[in-house]
Amino acid sequence: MFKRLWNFFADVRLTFWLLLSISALLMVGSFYVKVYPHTFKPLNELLFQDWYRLYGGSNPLKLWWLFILLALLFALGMNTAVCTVTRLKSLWLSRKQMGLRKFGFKITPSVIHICFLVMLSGHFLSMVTGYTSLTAIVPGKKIFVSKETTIEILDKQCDYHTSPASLRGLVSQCTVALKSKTTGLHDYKQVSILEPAFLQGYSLHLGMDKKSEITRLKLTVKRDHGLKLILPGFLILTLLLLWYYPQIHRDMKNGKKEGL
Amino acid sequence: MGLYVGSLIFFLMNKKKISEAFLVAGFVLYTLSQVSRGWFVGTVTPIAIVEGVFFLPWCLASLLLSLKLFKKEGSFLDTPLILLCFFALIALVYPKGVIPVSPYTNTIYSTLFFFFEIFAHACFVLGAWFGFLYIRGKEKSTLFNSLVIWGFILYSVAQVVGAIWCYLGWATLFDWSERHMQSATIWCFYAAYLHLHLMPSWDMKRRAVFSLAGACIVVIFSYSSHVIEMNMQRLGG
Repeated sequence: MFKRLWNFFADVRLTFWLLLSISALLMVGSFYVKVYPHTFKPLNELLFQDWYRLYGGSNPLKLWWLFILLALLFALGMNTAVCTVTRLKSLWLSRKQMGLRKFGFKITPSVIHICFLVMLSGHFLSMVTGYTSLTAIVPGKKIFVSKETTIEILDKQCDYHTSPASLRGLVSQCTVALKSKTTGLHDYKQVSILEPAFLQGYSLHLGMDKKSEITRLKLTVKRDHGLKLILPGFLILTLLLLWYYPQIHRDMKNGKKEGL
Repeated sequence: MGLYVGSLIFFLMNKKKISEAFLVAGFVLYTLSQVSRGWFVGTVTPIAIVEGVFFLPWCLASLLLSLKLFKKEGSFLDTPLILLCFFALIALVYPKGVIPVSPYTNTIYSTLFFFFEIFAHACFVLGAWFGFLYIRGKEKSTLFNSLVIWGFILYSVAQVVGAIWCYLGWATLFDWSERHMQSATIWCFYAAYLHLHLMPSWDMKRRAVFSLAGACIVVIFSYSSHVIEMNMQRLGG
């Protein structure tokens, strides 16, 4: 039974059809999130389980694609893990015949797949753990992040373009001054748009909504456990792609390999 | 635009040297026009240079010229002139103004994101064109495959840069929004393409069909958002 299951997940055809199905579901999902923003927008601000409790139960017809997508992503994770283990096992056994350089080259796709698994795990962590709060910027307002940590909004200021004439009156940058209190210790922070501040494992981001003539500022306080997995994972994956494919291309040109 | 059309006409008339001269002249003028977009509002706004509708024809032309420079001679390398003229024509009728800069776009990450994303789109579209020629039996080279692979790599670079930009600005790496899900659709689709070489039943002809489908998705997604952006407030133009 276990062997049959292993062989099922070790098939590259499964990878292809899973990726294609995930791609199709993401396409379908992009329509749903556009048509039903009131249902799906809160998913960006809440943990998945909290969002499901509030919005999911009453909207099963809007969510079918999301549950299939999550199931397929899980299957893709399994498929990637099994394929990677199988490939690494066979490469490890034949490492002495191929030399270190060739082994390093041959192992690259497996490392890329490990990075992909790290990214998938990171996304899962971001969905189900962590902390997010969204607060409108009002000087004097306090945000209770945890039992020990409080953030107080001290002041806000927006700068506007004065020149050239075409940009006059448009917001160039907004900054908010904050006072944090953690276990009795005070600290002062400043956040601007695209310039977050960091505090006790939380990141503080300033956001701006420009509706009509009023500029509304909001502060996002976030603790994202997946961030440290997703970003390095994706970065290493991309760097390895940049390193690996030119070599394949060169080998193809030199007739060393049948190519991709 | 006129020079690109001229290049196409001379190519169809089998006057290759004149066609190439028109293409180079068109590219130089288009480059100057793109650079001037960066100063359109009176201050340097690099993001205006890489706005999709206007930047895609530039990427296509630069790819085409690079291929002509580094690849072996082949009349199939001139055929994408039709594609180039088509996208340049869309740019010609599209509103020329610049979307006002905001604190969110005032970063190198936004410019780099669009630069890599549009270049990847150009690779996908050009790859699909050569794939189309391959299906029709007009071309034996599998250049389309290399272009699609490079498109995927550039697209991945764009997604990394975009993720950093998104995190700094919106406190997240992935948003359940139309734009992010469309990007993920494209990435997964081409990730699936990358696995086709491991499946013997997917020969080059079937892969070419796949690349054609991918380019359709890319063009539909990007141009549907460009249509929405037509209604955005613009400066000048």
